[in-house]
Amino acid sequence: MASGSESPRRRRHVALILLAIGLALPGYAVLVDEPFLVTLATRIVVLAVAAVSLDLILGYGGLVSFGHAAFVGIGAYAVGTGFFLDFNNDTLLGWDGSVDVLLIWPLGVLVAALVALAIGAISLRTRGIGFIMITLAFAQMLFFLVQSLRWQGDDSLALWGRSELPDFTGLDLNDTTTFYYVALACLVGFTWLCSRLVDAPFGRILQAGRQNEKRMRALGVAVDRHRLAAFVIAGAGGGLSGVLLANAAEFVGPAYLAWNRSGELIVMVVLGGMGTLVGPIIGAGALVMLEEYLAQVTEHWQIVLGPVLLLAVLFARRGILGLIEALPGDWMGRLRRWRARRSGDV
Amino acid sequence: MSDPLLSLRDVGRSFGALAAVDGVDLDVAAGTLHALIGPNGAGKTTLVNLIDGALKADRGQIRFAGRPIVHLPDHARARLGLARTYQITSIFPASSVRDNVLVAVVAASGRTWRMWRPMVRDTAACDRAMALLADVGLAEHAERPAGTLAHGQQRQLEIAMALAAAPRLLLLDEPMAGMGPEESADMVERLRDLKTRHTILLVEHDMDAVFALADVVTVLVSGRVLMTGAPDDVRTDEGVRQAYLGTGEDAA
Ligand SMILES: Nc1ncnc2c1ncn2[C@@H]1O[C@H](COP(=O)(O)OP(=O)(O)OP(=O)(O)O)[C@@H](O)[C@H]1O
Ligand SMILES: [Mg+2]
Repeated sequence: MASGSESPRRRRHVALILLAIGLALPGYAVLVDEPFLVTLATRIVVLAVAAVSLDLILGYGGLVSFGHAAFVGIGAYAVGTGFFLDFNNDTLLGWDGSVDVLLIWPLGVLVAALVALAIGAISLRTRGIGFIMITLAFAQMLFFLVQSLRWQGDDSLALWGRSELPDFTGLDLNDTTTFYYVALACLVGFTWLCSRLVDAPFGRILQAGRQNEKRMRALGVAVDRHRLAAFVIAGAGGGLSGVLLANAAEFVGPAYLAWNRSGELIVMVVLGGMGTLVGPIIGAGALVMLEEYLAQVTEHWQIVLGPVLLLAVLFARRGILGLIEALPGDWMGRLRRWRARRSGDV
Repeated sequence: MSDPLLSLRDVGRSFGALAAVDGVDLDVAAGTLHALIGPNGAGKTTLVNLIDGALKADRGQIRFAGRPIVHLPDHARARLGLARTYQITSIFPASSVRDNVLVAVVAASGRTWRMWRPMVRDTAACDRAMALLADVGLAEHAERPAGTLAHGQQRQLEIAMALAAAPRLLLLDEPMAGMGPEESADMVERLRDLKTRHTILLVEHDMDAVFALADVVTVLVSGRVLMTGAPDDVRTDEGVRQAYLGTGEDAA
């Protein structure tokens, strides 16, 4: 199990390196003339938001939520609904601008959080397998609900563009690179919020409750409400991911809420290293790239993916991040000394 | 005489057909060290669980600090000033030794909802945690994962965690279980020191320790109180000797 104590310095450095890669990627894509890289990276970033949020409840709370795609779906459907209303020259409860980022994105996040509050309040009465099953059941309910929805006779909706930022920003999300950076900003911001959360008393209590609930109760804290709060924040993060996903794909459909989507998010968290926040980002990158690569090699890529993941989980119990953190040698120290020399200390 | 700090009347709890605790009356006076002894399976741990709320009583009344607590869940009882250690060590093994105590300090302060400032930046709480660790001789191990401590050290850590809330009553379930002679001697000294400041209900098999420390001893056999009295009276009691010999238990 990932150490619940302080996030090691090495983890922070990995996060910074990832951030540097993330910032430089569009430039690199231009350099090697592979514009598709930005689209791929956008997908990674968007799913990473969901994976990080799931890590709150899975890695830090110790509860396997098998319905996280539901919150992603809610965020996506909020955006879809906004576009649909706009298309019909309708408004959202009398509010103009149902395709505006400033209105529909927070709304998608909020609705996802509220649904998480309801689902969490009920699901958290159970533990272990019970929790897995009940979160899955709720997600399936939502899946079937949206499947029965009809926009223009179809159960899915292709968007004709992306949400609109206010004019004063001068930014157009229809620009691939702009959208990528906005998504990246969302990922960085949300991950940063979560990293404050997990090191604050709230997060430490949550983790202590994962390690030893009986002990935590005897110390005077029934961790249930902390878990519910974590579940709601995780739901909000899922909603944010969904809002971004709908825009990234310019498409909204029930597939976003399918149970295998929830499974993929769990795989990202576990593969990258749960209870680390940074790990799930790596996991999202690894899984998306693996799918992409395998799909090029063989059409039966899903059959190959299973064993690969199984091996990864078996041989890297603490995920890819765990492997990186276990790398021999003080390469971080070397990097620091190198930097110090560069800045003229020596 | 003033009211006892803890008072049990006709408290009972069964597991199926087994009456593990069967109509126990018990009074723990403030400022005393009250020992609870009895052969294996007598129901001592079950009784502690009933007092701290880890288990629900089937029947009976429990009053703590003048108020009935039998309807309260365990965490609410803890907030009233009940703290405990476990027969089988119960800590947060993956967290550092310091963080174990820090979490206990934060839990006791009630500030468990703070979401922004890192817990380890709360200097007041950290100082308190380090002081508690120093008291049990673990200060130098503060940064180690608690799970890597030696068994005896983990027991000391549990005591530090229990003390974090400045509890009014300490429930100690066999703090010397599994300890070597040296560690046991350490723990006896620790308890001797603690009893000057705390009211303690001590479950213990080590009779030398019990008779050295206790002000009052209650003997539990098959879920029932056989006798309560001064250590010397209990030591010389024929019925108590019978109870231990009768179950083939060596009272050492
Ligand atoms: N959760 C449980 N379910 C069923 N039986 C239990 C449970 N807990 C305890 N018992 C039984 O209740 C009786 C009393 O157990 P308890 O652990 O309270 O004894 P004890 O006095 O603490 O013994 P020891 O000295 O070995 O710690 C035993 O027969 C035990 O098997
Ligand atoms: Mg016991």
